[in-house]
Amino acid sequence: MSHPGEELSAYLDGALGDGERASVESHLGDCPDCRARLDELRTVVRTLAAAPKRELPAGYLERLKTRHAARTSAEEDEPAPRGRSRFRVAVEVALTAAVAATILVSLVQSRPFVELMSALLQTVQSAAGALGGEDK
Amino acid sequence: MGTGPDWGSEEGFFRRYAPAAYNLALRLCGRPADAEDVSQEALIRALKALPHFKGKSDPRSWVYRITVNVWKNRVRAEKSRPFWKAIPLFGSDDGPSVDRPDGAPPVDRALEASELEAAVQKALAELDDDDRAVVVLKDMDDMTYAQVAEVLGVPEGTVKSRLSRARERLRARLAPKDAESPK
Repeated sequence: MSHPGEELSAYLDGALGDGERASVESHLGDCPDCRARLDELRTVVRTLAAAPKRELPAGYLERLKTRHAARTSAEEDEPAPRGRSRFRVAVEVALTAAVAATILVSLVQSRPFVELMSALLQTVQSAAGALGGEDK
Repeated sequence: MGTGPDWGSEEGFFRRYAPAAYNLALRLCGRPADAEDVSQEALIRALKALPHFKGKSDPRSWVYRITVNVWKNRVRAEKSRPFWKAIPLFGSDDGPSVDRPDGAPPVDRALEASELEAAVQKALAELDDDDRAVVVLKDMDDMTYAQVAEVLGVPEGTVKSRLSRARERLRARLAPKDAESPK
């Protein structure tokens, strides 16, 4: 076989099937470069495994409990999200449709720009009045 | 607490998994201040999600998965920050400094616990994020391919590929060819 690629890393972990393992071992017998590479990979794995783990920093658990308590308290105080009322959604849909219709009709009739803007303004004002009425 | 394994109390849960979550986050982030932030966020989310944890998978893997997700979100947010916000105007954002001898590295930046730890952390920092996550879980936390795949949500074949690539890149740093040759 040619020089093994990621098979060498898997070989190190004993994660190859019988056929692949035999093939890699056969290659290693003939290839000093790959034997050296395998040794280096083994050194990498041992070095990583030997790196010490750290103790938690001083006060870590206290800070964690404080943070958790603050989060819990904030979530309890947070008001439930309010959806938009059906009326408001209906008005918004109607407003969008009215604006679109006004533009369409104006374009079809080739009315001048000023008239188009005036019609648009009228539509928006009446829709805004309807929306304002909901809040009262 | 939830319907899954009983850790007795919230504090019991924190005490049991905080060291593992913190060390994983430290390997992934590189800086103690970031590791504390990421691991604490992950532990709080894990505790909140505890009622949904049925105990079918390894609890440590479950906590690790949440930790990795918090870290990934953080990395993503950092990468999408406008460049002018990524430039510290006044000192670094490594957190409060502490009194230290002149010329000594910042305590919160360097991993000075040992030369080995520092060398490993420096080598890990040069890896891609995805490759670093795999090699940390497999070679530093002694997880199986299947466990790493579960934590990262990728196929085992992807774990093998990333692990091989990470180890090959680490060879130059941690196993230099001329390490034993006379100078």
